[in-house]
Amino acid sequence: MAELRLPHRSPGARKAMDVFIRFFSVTSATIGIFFLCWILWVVLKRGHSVLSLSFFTSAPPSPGEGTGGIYYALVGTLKMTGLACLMGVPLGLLTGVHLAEFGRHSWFAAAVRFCVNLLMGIPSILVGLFAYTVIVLSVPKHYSGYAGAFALAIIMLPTVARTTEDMLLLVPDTLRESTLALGIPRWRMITGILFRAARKGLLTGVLLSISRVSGETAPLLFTALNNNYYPKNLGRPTANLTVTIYNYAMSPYENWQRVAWGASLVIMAFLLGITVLLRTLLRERSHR
Amino acid sequence: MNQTIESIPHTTVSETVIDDPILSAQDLCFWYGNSQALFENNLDIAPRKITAIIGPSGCGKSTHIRVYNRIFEQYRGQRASGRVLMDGLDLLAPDTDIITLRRRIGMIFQKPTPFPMSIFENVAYGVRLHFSFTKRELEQKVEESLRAAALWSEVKDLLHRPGTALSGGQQQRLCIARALAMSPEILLMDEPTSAIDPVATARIEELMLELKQRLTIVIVTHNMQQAARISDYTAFFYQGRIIEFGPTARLFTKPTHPQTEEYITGRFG
Amino acid sequence: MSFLTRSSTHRLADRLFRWLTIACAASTLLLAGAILWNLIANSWPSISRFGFGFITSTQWNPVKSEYGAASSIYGTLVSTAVALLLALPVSLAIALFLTSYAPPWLARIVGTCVELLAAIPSIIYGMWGLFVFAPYMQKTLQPWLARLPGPLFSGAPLGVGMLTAGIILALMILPFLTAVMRDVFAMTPPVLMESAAGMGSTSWEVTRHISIPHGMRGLVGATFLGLGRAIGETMAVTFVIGNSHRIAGSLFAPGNTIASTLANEFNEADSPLLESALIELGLILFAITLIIQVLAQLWLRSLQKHQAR
Repeated sequence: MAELRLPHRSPGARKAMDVFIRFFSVTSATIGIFFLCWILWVVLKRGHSVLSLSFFTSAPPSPGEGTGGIYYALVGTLKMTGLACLMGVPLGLLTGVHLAEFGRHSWFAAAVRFCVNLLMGIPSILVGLFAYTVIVLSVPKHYSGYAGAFALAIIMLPTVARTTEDMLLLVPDTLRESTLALGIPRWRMITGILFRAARKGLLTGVLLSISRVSGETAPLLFTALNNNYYPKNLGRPTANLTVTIYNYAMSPYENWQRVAWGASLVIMAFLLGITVLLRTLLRERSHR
Repeated sequence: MNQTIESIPHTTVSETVIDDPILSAQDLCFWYGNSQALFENNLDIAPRKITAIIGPSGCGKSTHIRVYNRIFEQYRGQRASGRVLMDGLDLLAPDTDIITLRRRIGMIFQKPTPFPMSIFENVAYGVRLHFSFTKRELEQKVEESLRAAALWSEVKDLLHRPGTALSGGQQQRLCIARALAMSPEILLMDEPTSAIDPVATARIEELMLELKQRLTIVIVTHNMQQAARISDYTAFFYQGRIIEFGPTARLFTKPTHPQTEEYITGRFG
Repeated sequence: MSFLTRSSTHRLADRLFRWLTIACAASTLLLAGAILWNLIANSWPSISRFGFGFITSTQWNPVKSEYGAASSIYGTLVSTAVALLLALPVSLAIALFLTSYAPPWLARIVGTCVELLAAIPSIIYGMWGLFVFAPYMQKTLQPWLARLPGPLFSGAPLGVGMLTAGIILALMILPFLTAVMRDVFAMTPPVLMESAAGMGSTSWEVTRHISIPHGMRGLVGATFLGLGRAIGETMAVTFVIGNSHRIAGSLFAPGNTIASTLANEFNEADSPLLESALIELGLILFAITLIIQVLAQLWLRSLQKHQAR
């Protein structure tokens, strides 16, 4: 038989490589989980001791003494995020509607799509810098919660627009046609029928954008700054969670550092919760 | 599991004896998860002959040949029991070297599967895996395999074009060349012409008759004319069991089992 | 008559709605343009003062009002390179684990865990990095690495520095890379993988020769994505990179990135020139992300064309 003279390669080395890759892949997965657990554990361990109901309802402590809480920062963050939603969500939603419903093939939509992707990829600190130059630098120069909310809205906008476009495109064209065939005007078809058909997807986009901004520190550094007072209006520097964490963590006072860890735990719990919620929302989509 | 109480016998009525079979399946059972797909089948494959496996869809014919190269192990929850002897050794045994096994038993699929690389690299792929050839020897081997698959004259100037650029029939012959390059002893073909036009099918059938000089072919087909045209032996599968096995001419003219007769005369399936 | 009036009201409403969406969509163009314009306008004092020398100068001297971007650019590129170098093989391996090695129930758990890494905010990575990971680096990993020959791992083990920043960045981009790679692997046609396995390829060889080439474009896209994320990451890096305007050959040495310099110095910038120089740093970062973005989108477009064929 001719085969016998063939220079056979022994599969030993190839099998060894296969086993090595298998080992490396298990190791890598373990590394990922290990770091996640490490970080979660550290935040939990250092943050849980200050956590109590009064942590959410008291003013920040004086440097070096007292426990205090994150009430002002919490309110400031909520106010700014809420204002950012009011600006970013409708803009993003309608941009997404334009991309999915009116501009599937136009050059204008292509340009918008490019800019949406660009805005999505811009480092958040540059958005903060932009908000600084536009709002803070307006005469007279003043830092404000409005500037912070403006920066957060810019970060939300592209996320909402992209998800809206994707989710509307998932709605089959037959639904559009059958609705229009009933004599229903296009804008009623979009706001009444399409939004309802895609409502879970649209909600996902909004939640996604909220989760993107609620952990952000960089865009607030040069805009909202921070404040030790109750954020009655957003026209002044405004207390917020993330910059508070940054300032307190870098401070030499042990009680401030404790508050920083406590606030970290609060933010992290919120973000992990919202991520799990998003996962289930998206899973439901794919199962349908 | 050992005792099936169904009435259908799993040995053929007219015992066809294959002398010195190259593959011999004994009491072969197969499960997809909890549902059993093959029931204690026995089948001998004659060397350097074409054995066709026919039967209605879902009868287990593809499942059967996917046991021969243990490709089913790619998937979770699929398992086989029983024995398949090759050279007197059970290829289902845990210590069988799968890499060598799959070098010796090539497989062609229903849809052509050119790899995402050039025509040359497609054919050289298996050779590089299993042999240490010099560059010149490798080029010779690739040419020889493409010639054997009757594709050389069509692609000799396009060797560095992607394999996906060929037509469907050419792609299938490329896959045959790729399998031949590994110098296999057995070629498993799982409905190799069902996605291909009649002219290309005729070329592949011709090619199979040529290849029979050198190697053993087991072909699964739903096309009974094809089985009648090219095979030496035919096995008829029904509901996971081998109903009848024998020389093709005999099985198609004088089937001994009523179900075989019903199937080949087109009354069901 | 009333029939006609109604229909024209609808037509008006339709037109208004359409223009409303156009206006909103145009706001994104406006924003992108305004960001670029503002960065250029506000860095103009620095651009006209330092010219192209800004990019190559390693000076950063507020006393003499001499500013250069070289150390920040260098730090940005090196920390990103370290992050990609670490994260690419690990995410590839995790994606492989999720798609081919792990049983489905385990893949779901591991997949969720890796995804949760993306939910941790940057500032927490920073705090954990500074207070927990950097001391560990200093006491354990760096002394061990220092035994390796070569200038990369030389110098005093400070804990904070380029390497620590790179590792943390790697962790932060890991979930994004893994998610894309998992999708890419899941898209490989099973019959192609069967075919390669049927020829006697080991499962790694199937990945190496079939899945990876088949999904190459998607994998490159994932790399761009990770690159874009790592290059502008601010808070985590600011905590652990050491914040020094010096270029050092060793990965142990402290350094800075464009983003970390901005976060550290912008609020303390007391001279208009320093502020302008910092904004010019931002402009450079914007230009880098713009280039990455354009490349990534061109790449994706050719990918779609390729798939359409």
